[in-house]
Amino acid sequence: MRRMAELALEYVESGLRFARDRAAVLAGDAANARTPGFSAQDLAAGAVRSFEGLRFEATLRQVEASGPVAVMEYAMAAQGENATRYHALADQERAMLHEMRMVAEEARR
Amino acid sequence: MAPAADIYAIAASGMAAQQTEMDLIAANIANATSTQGGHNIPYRARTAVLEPSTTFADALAGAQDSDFDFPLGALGDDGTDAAPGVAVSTIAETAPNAGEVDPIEEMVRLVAAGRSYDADVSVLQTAKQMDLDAADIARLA
Repeated sequence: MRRMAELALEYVESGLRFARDRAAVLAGDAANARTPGFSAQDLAAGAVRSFEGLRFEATLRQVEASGPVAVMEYAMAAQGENATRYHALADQERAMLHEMRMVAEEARR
Repeated sequence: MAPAADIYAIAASGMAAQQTEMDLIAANIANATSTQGGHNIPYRARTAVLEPSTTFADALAGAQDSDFDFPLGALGDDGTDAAPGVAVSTIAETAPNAGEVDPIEEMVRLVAAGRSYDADVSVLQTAKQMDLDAADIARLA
């Protein structure tokens, strides 16, 4: 039971780290949108099964957006979507921690 | 990968670059009817040429303790390298035959630079919100 809870927390935290990393890449896109010849990039996440369980893999990929306006639009839209995902995962982690605390308190009684 | 502070640094580099561009546009508009050194040579508009400030490989230097695998092929196979920051490489004059400052063009560039600046501010706000969430989780844990 404890291991399950730890695993669940681990997955959520992996998602949070991925969102944080992706935010950095998208920040670079937004900052360089007006740089001549700059091509936008993004991080793509994938889940890989291994002996240790589920492992996440992030890959840098090129974005099909050319020109300052397209790069900026892409970066801002992706940034918004990424922030929403981060916030949702943070909510989930908070809820899990709250539940674990309640179970611990209940066990103490 | 990139620590939280890097997002702030990236956005700040973008804001500084756009600020330089806006300063140049202001100077161009103010000098639209100026001549250079009283020799009847028209003032030439100047513009900031931006370039990526560092390679993405540098930004990945702190990736060793990340839970994610960044396959090296993803960074180099297609010969491209992402750039986390931006810097002004040179201040370029417009072409010699471009002649006078075009106020309309300057205003269009001003809007574009302003919009880019706003985007960087938005990135900063997003990173701040992420940090607040992370701090809240750390408080609960």
